[in-house]
Amino acid sequence: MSSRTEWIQVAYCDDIPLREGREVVIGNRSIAVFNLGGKFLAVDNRCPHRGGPLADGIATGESVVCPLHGWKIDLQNGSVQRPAEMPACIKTFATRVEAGTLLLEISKLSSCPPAKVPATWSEGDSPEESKERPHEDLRFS
Amino acid sequence: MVGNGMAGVACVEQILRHAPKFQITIFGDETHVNYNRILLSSVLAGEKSADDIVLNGLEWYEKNNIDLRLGLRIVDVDPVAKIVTGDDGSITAFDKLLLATGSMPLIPSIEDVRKDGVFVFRNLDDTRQLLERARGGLKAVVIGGGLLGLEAARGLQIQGCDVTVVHLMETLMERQLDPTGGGYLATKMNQMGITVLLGLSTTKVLGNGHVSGVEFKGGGSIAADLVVIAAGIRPNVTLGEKAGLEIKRGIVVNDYMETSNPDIFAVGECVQHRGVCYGLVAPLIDQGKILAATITGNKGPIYEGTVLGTKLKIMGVDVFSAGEITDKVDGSEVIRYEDPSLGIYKKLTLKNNRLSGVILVGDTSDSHNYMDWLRSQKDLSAMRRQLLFPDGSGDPGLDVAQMSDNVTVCGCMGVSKGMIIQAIHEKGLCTMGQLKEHTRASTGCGSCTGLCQSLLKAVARDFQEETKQTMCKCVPFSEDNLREILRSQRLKSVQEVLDIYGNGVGCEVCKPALSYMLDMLWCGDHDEDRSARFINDRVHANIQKDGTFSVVPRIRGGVTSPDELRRIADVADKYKVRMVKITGSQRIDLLGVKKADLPKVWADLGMPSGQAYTKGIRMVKTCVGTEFCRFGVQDSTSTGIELERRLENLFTPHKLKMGVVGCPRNCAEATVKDIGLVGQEGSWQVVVGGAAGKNVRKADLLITVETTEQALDAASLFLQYYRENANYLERTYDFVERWGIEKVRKETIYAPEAAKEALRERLRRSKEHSSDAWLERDTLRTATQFVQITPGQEVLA
Repeated sequence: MSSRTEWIQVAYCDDIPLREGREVVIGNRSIAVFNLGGKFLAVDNRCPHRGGPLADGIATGESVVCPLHGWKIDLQNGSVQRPAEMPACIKTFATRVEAGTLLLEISKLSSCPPAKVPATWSEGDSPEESKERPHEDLRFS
Repeated sequence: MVGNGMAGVACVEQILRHAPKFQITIFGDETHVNYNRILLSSVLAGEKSADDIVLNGLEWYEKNNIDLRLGLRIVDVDPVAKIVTGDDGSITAFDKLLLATGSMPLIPSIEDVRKDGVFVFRNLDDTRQLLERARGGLKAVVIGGGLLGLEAARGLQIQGCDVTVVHLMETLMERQLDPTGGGYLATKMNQMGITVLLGLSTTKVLGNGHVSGVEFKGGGSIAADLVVIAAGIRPNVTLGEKAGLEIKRGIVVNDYMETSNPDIFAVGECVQHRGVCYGLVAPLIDQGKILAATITGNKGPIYEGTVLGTKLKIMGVDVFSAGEITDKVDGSEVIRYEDPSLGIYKKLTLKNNRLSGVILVGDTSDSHNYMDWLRSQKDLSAMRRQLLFPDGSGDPGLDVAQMSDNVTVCGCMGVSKGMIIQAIHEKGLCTMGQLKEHTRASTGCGSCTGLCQSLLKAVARDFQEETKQTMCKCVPFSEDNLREILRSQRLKSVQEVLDIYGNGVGCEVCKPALSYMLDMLWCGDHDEDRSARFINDRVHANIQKDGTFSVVPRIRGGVTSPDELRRIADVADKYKVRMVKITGSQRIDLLGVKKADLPKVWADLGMPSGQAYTKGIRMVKTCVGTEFCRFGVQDSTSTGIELERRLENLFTPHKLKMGVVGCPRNCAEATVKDIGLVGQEGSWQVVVGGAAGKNVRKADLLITVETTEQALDAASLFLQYYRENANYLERTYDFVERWGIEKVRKETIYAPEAAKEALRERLRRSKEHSSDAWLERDTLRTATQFVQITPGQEVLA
């Protein structure tokens, strides 16, 4: 797949508060961008578990915890850190700052492939049953 | 024995192990039992209470048949008649006399140093006086930039004083640090807000009666309301002189800890051994062991001096020093590492590949390794590449596995790894408390606690974590502990706490917990950091499985109006709300609202937030009570509305639901709510800790009161007490069971009036700082709080 890429201005750096994420929509693609203090990281705004909005998660170091069921995603490489040994992965995007403006590197080819749900994790299984989750009370009722 | 301090009593403990046939009498001029003098700075800093630092309680003296005479100063010794005389004229005969008279603060020659407001910092009474005097806004000057002076300075600062340290030398802690290390330390102290003045000799205390400032050599001066002198100590040798002993700086002792008189012994800070007077606890404990052998007729072991390691005990300022500190031209090599941004400085001095000195500022995590190398004089040639950064792998047992059995774990009490392992096996120890009791390890300065814990974990068959659990790995303290720390250290933001007491990063468990704690402790007057909050608390709505939100306006007591209902219906239409649902809490839920629409939805509703998304005051469910019901005996509806008004907008450890019913038929289910008011003829029952969720639990009766105002007051007292004492995410039903309803009653409704008033006052202040979260629609926290950023449009336009 020959992928032509281009840098797109997406926001002023100040628009993304320190240690928070924001959703950036480009075409039909939703991207979660995080300000980690002197460093911006961007991933698909879609948790590989149930599609939760990662931009709304709590950042912990260079990872984010999905607000829906507590999956933890590495923002550097898009891999799943919790539950452990989950082969799923989401797309990451390179970022650059120019004169206070944040740019993302986006492939020209449109829609990104849907996040893969690993075979070991069939619909209906719930990560809450996994011992990996530290706090089941994170679920808000 | 004359002297009831750490060195003397530790020596007596050793003597008792030899099962001697002594009748022991101990004289102490202070009125306290033996306490840990090293931790006085922690008492001043509010981290520990006076009771916390007791080493030997009265029962210890009783159990060992020791005649303890407190508040009695021995003023004379007659070595020929073998008697000592007290300041009350009492005369006591002895066969063997042990002098453990310690040392006295060194008072430099400063003019008018006896003025009111000038203190020394040596014993518990000094500390108490300082605590009484230190107040917010006072200017405090500490004369002396050594260990004690700096610890005193930080303590006074925590008590609210504006503190300046004046030091005679050009380097702080110059006996332990080189100029570079001292510079790093001075920077750290400055960052903490303590002013450091170096190379200044104080010549005069200014003021008319009470101190108003200090004057320096050369003419400069600074204002001061309070002066603490911490310029060092000198051995207290008066009694040694009266006993006719050989005295130089201290009472001279030989390697068997004998003085020049065979029936008189001395131990501790008052002695001089091989030309050295020690002022730290570790050598004094070593001396005590030798002396105990000698005095009980088991003469043999000799004292050869102690390699000293010094650690500064200020939370957040890590300083360690041991051995040689100055650069010498004697073939020694110096290995150095500095990082000014991180504030880390490490310097090792090596001679013939053996460690002869170490200075650590900013990172003292490897100090026990260095101490071990220093004591063992291990050949380090094979490890030269790793000297400054010993392997930091993730194996928690590795640290202790690398230590050999004779390595000292607790430097203060002189306890080795082998001794701890032996004690664990022989006594079947499994908690830190037991380990402390049996080995005394980690009861000194406490800096080896982590190491002891790892050792216990690695060795004990049934290791038990102390009941106080830590909040999470990021911030390894129990919540009780953290509340104390945050309060005493006046920390107001989550990141500050993580930086100083945690891993600097935090996670989804500790960040919301710390956010709650700060809000509660400072009654809402903290530095709110939304990045530490769950998304619900960033946008004041409850996130749903598809990323949309639910909106529940406040409908106090479940009472609404046609006008409100119309507005709700209009909003549901306008924003295409997917479902309108009557909740179990007598409220209305609008489900499926987009984040970007939230502020507009709130504005159109024109109703306050129902806090249905947060760990806070949810609602008060009511029945119609006397207003309509044939059976009602109390006005539950308006009481419920009033209760909701008084408590709404507050945050709580977990969600909190209430109910008020007008008769015992309990139609609004008040007895399964966190707080319930149950009306009966002429009175209210106030019940707490009920549940009808994951658990079902009938609430406990807190109290029965006659008037509605009393009922509301009891509910408020309980609420604030729960807010202050429960762990984060602990519902009232768990809290009340853990605490016990008797204790809850004792400390709320039966508490002394002053304590109740304090609870009410803190609740009032929290309430004043709280507000309807939905008003944020007009005062956005950030421009993009509710926005989905679309490049090329609004934001970049």
